[in-house]
Amino acid sequence: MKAKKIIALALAICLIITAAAACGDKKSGEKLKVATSPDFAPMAFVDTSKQGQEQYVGFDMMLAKYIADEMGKELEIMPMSFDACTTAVSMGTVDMAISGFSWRQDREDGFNLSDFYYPGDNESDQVVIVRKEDEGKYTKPEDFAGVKVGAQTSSLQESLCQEQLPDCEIVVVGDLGTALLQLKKGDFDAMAVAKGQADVFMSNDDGVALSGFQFEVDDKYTANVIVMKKGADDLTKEVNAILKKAYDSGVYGEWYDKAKEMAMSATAQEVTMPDESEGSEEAGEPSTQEE
Amino acid sequence: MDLSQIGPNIVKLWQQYWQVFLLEGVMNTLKLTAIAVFFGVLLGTLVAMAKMCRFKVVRFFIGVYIEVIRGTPILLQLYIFYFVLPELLPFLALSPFMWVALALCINSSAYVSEVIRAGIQAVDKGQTEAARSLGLSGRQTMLRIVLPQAVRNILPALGNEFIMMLKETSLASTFFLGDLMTSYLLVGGATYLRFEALIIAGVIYLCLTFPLSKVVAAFERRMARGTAD
Repeated sequence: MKAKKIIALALAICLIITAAAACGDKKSGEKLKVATSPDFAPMAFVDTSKQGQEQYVGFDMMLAKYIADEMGKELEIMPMSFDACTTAVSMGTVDMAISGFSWRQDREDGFNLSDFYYPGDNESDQVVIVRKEDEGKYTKPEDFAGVKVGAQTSSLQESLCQEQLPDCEIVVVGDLGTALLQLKKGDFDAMAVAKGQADVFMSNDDGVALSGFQFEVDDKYTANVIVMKKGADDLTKEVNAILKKAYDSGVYGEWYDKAKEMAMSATAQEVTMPDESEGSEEAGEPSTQEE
Repeated sequence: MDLSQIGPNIVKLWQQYWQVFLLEGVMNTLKLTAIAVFFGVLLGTLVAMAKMCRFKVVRFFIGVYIEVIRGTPILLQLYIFYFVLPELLPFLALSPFMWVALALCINSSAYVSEVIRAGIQAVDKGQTEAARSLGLSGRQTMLRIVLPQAVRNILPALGNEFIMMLKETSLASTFFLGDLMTSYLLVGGATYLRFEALIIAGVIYLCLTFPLSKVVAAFERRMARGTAD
C-alpha cells in the first residue's frame, strides 16, 4: 500500500509538472490586464475572423488599447462573463474591467471607478423598443399605463422606468438577448434599452421597432466607467488623466462609429443586401450600455 | 415571436459562422473533455485506491476530497481555480485554459473514483472468498478475479462520465475559453441572433452526445453478455 501511495504522489506531481510545462506562459514586459465580457456589441465583441488578442473589438476595446498605449504597457484582454469581471477586479486577477459598466452606487462603494467616458458624444439616448406591429404606439408616459415593460435587472433602464413610467408594469429580465426573444414572444410588450443597443437590434432583426418614446436622461447616469480595485488610487488617477486626454482629442465619436459599423456588418456581410453601403450613415448615434 | 425568420436566420448564421462553431467550438470542447476525462481517470483511479486502502487517516482525507468536490457546483470550482489558485500558486504559471482544464480533471477524478470504487465493490464478495480459499493471495485475487469483473461495471460508466463532462465543459464559456458554448456567446453577442445561435450550438451538442451514448449503450450490452457464461 505504501508503494501505491508513492506512485500516486509521483503521478500527481508528474501531472502538474507536465501541465505547467505545456504552457509556460512567462511574464514578458509590463502588461495591462483588462477584463471584459465580449458578448456585447458594439461595446465589446469578437471578430470571429481573427485570432488571439486581435479578435476583441468594439468601443471598449479601442479604449483599452488607447489606455494601454498611453501607459506604455502591453494590453492583455481577459474575456469572461460580465459577473466574473468584477470578481476578477476585486481578486486582483486583472488591473481593470472595461465592459460597458455604468455608474451605480454599489459599484462606487465596492470599487474605484474612473471618471465617465462616453461612447459617442456627450449625451446618450435611452429608448423603448416594441414589436414591429406596435411601432410608434407609445409616445407619452401615460401611454404605458398597465403595459408590461421589460428592463434589465438593476440597470439604468429599470430605474428610468420606475421614475418616468410610473404606471407601467416592469418585468425584470436577465440578459438582453433573451429579453429580445421574450419581447417578440409576447412576455412583455415593450423593452427599455439604450439607443445604440436598439439600433443593433433593429439592424439585425426586422421584428422590432422604436416605440416613439424616449426617456429624459441625466448625463451622470448614462455614461460609462472603468472599474478598478478599491484603493488603487494611483491607477485611477492615471486612467482619469488618459480618459481626459481621449475626450479632449475627440476620438470617442470616431471609435463609436467604427465599432457600430463593425457590429452591424457582423450579420450583414455575405448576406447580399443591395443597399448595404448606407450602413455607415446610420451609425453615429451615441449610446451607453448597461449590461 | 416571428418563427418564420428563425429558419433563414439559422441558415444565414451557419453559412457565416460554421467555422466558429465547428473548428473552434467543437475542437475545444472535445479537447477539454479529453483532457479532463483522461487525467480524471488516472487521478480517479489513484483516489479510488486511496479510498479503499487500510489507513484510516488516508481514507478520511480522501473522503473529504470526494465529498467537497462532489458536493459543490462545478461552476464554483471553476471560479476558485481561475481566480484563487493562480494567486496561491503563482509559480505554476498556467494559462486560463489549463486552469480550467485542471479544475475539470479534479472534478472528474472525484466522480470517476466513486465509479471505480462502486464497480469494485459491486463484485460479489463470494468471488473474493472463493479465490482466497483456493489459495490466491490478496493481490492475485484483486488483479485476476475482482478487477476483470469490475471493469465490466466500470467501463460503461466511464463512457457516461465522458458524455457528462462533454456537457459540463460548457461552463468554460464563463471565461470564453473557446468551447462550443463560447461560440454561441460570441456569435450571439455580435449578431444578437442569440436564439438562432443557441439552436445551432444545441444541435451540435446533440450530434456529439447522441452517437456517444449509443456507443456506450452498445458497449454496456456487450459487457453484460459476458456475465451469462
